[in-house]
Amino acid sequence: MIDVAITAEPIDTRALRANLPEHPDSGGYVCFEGHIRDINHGKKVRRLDYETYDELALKELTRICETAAERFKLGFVRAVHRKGSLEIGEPAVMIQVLSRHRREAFEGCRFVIDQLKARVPIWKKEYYDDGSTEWTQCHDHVSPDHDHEGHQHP
Amino acid sequence: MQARIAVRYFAVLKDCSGKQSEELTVAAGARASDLYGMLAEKYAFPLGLKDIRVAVNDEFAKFDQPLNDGDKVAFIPPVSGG
Repeated sequence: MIDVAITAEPIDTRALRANLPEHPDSGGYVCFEGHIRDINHGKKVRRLDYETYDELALKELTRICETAAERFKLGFVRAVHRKGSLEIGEPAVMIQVLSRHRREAFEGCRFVIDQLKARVPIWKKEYYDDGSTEWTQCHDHVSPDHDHEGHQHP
Repeated sequence: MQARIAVRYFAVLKDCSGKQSEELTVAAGARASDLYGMLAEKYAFPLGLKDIRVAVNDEFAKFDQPLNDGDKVAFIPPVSGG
């Protein structure tokens, strides 16, 4: 079971945690939340905007979750990403997975967030305290010459 | 023969072009790479073909794909979600 969303509303992490499918055969539950951090590359971040290419982002996110479900034998995968303007501390992304055992749950959750950062068409613009702004870039971005999955953060 | 193409811009490409989208006409048989070259020159995009990906009709595509009348094209700068 796959559940993906891109939302302009704040991600209600508590409600999402409470809203898991029945999972009598899953003993492992892993959740990753990415929150807005106030420092990036040594600069003080005031807030940021996420821009999304919704149509393609949802397709790609669904494919990533399907791959994860198959590869790591996950009974459930949910990936929710926020768009629009966010303040420091707000959740930007939430990944939840259920599997029979913990190992697959950890690895599956890691796979989904790593792949999301590398290939889903979502862009982050940071607004710094000094008044400057920047579209940041994930260093694992998939370039056309390197168009396959498998990049992992160290 | 010409093809009408709907182009969408995201992130740094949107900032450089000053618009979210526009409709353009290209020669029939033009490729996505030809279109990007034209736009990169027009708007002084800071990214080359090796930095970006292209989507045609909301699906990733190859740069040498010939464009057809009515196609929706989006150029994808380096992503930074999460």
